Amino acid sequence: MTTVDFARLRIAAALNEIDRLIQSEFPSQSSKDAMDILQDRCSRFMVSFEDKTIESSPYGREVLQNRCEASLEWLFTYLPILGFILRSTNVRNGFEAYGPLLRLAQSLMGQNTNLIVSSEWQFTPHTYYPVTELPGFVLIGLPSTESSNPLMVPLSGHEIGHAVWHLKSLNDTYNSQIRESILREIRDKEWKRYKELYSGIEKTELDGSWIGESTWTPAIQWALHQIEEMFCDFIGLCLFAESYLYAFMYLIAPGTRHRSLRYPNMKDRVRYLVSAASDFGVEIPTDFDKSFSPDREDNFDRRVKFLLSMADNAAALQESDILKLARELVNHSNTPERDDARVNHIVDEFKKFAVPTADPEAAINIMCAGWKCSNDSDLWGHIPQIKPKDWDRVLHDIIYKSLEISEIQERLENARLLREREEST
Amino acid sequence: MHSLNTQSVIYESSSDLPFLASEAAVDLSKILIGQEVNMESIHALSDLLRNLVKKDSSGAPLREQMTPEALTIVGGAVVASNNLGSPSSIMVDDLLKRALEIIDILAYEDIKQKPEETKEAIEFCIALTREAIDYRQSLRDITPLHPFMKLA
Repeated sequence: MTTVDFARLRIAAALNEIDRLIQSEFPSQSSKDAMDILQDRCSRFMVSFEDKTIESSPYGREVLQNRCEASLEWLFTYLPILGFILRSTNVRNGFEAYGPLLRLAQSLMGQNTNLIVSSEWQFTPHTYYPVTELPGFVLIGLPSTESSNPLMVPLSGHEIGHAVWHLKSLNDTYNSQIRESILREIRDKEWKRYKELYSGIEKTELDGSWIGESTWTPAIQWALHQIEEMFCDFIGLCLFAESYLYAFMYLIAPGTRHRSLRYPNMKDRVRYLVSAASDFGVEIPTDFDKSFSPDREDNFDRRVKFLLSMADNAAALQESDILKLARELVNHSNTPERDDARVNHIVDEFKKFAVPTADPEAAINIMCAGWKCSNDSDLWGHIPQIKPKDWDRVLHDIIYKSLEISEIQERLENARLLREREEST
Repeated sequence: MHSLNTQSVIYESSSDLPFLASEAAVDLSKILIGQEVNMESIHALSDLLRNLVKKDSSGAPLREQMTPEALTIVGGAVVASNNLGSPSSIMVDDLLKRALEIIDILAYEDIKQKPEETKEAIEFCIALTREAIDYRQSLRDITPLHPFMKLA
């Protein structure tokens, strides 16, 4: 058997598996459509492997080898995506939150945006975007251990932020500023330190030489990742107000002290959030900043430490710009704003009567009310039928029900408006 | 939702670089032996690369506006497909100028009449596939799935 035979068999196996997966029941059309697209793409490789005419070209063997490499890479890349789509059908998922999240995503990214949410076996919430074979699809994974906890829904705001960042090509927007900032710092302030680490590179080679640039361009990538994370935190804060901060604390405090190259140091990340919350008039949880430990950096080698400091400084310079951008994007998207009166009304319903909201409510208000109740140490002291050990579970159920009721009412209202418009024409 | 039945929709929608570059290489190699080929993968790749390789109004490359990812992949593909020798003497702008030339070749309507350019384009597409795959794999190396997990 040849390399092409092995590649063909691998792709055939993948197509068989996709055929089986397509028989699943999908909670949303997005999941089904994504599966159809991936089946179509995968079959394109099979077309190449079954086309005998390619071999007669002077480059035939090389391009077939290349196609085999690309098909292997496709399997590495898209098998996890197929698994994600399959897991999005699992009943573990909090389907009640899907409708509100889809509406938020579509408000920020356009009405044709597709969303797939899955309960995943990674503790970090994450996004797949852009999925190059699935343009317009946003995939958000939330930790499966919290799938019955709707108070984690605000973290999806951060994940939607990642999709917005890439949709609007904000890496392109900030790339040259970050690049200039780092280049200037190395050339004008840190040349001595740089030279100690990269003795073979002259100042004239920093900018323009393939070798010279490769010594410091990782810092650009790290800085871009950092400002993306900053942006996503600000988006989460705009979309969900203080409930984002509480969810953030719940999920990640005090941190692990491990410094990731792709994130600001935790102390900086927290500082950015506190500053943004003050700017937006969002309530900051008590001792929010004290709840997180700073990340270690003493265990990096000297070159990484140097480049990371360049990246950190370049990212910090963009803070106010990123904050302004996030706020403007959310303001222009007509997503609901936090309404104190509605939040208090929802808190009343939850606390006094232990019932879901009867009125359609925005997710931001439900989430903020939910966290207020979760932080109330005497939430249902007046309802002895609900034992304190059950308060969290009951509250989570009520919040999910409130999201569901609001979603149904929203859809009924939209259907009514559509009918009225049709009747008037 | 787009219909998935027409080939034009496939290439309109995919921006997966290894997929497109390898597909374009296959189609270009068929052109070399006189076969009739749908040009959509080749043109879709040209369009994708035009978004990655920025240039100014005079057509000169703007490397300051290219992301590190795009520079690494496209620059690497030019180095690999052009046998440019020692990397220490290579200037980024020269690589990008060459990339822009190849992007123009990929956009030709009558590439069938230009066998030498077709060969250059094939070699570039093969190298581009490999650079894009290498870049993705390098990201997997940086971010392993689990500290206990060992990959084959």
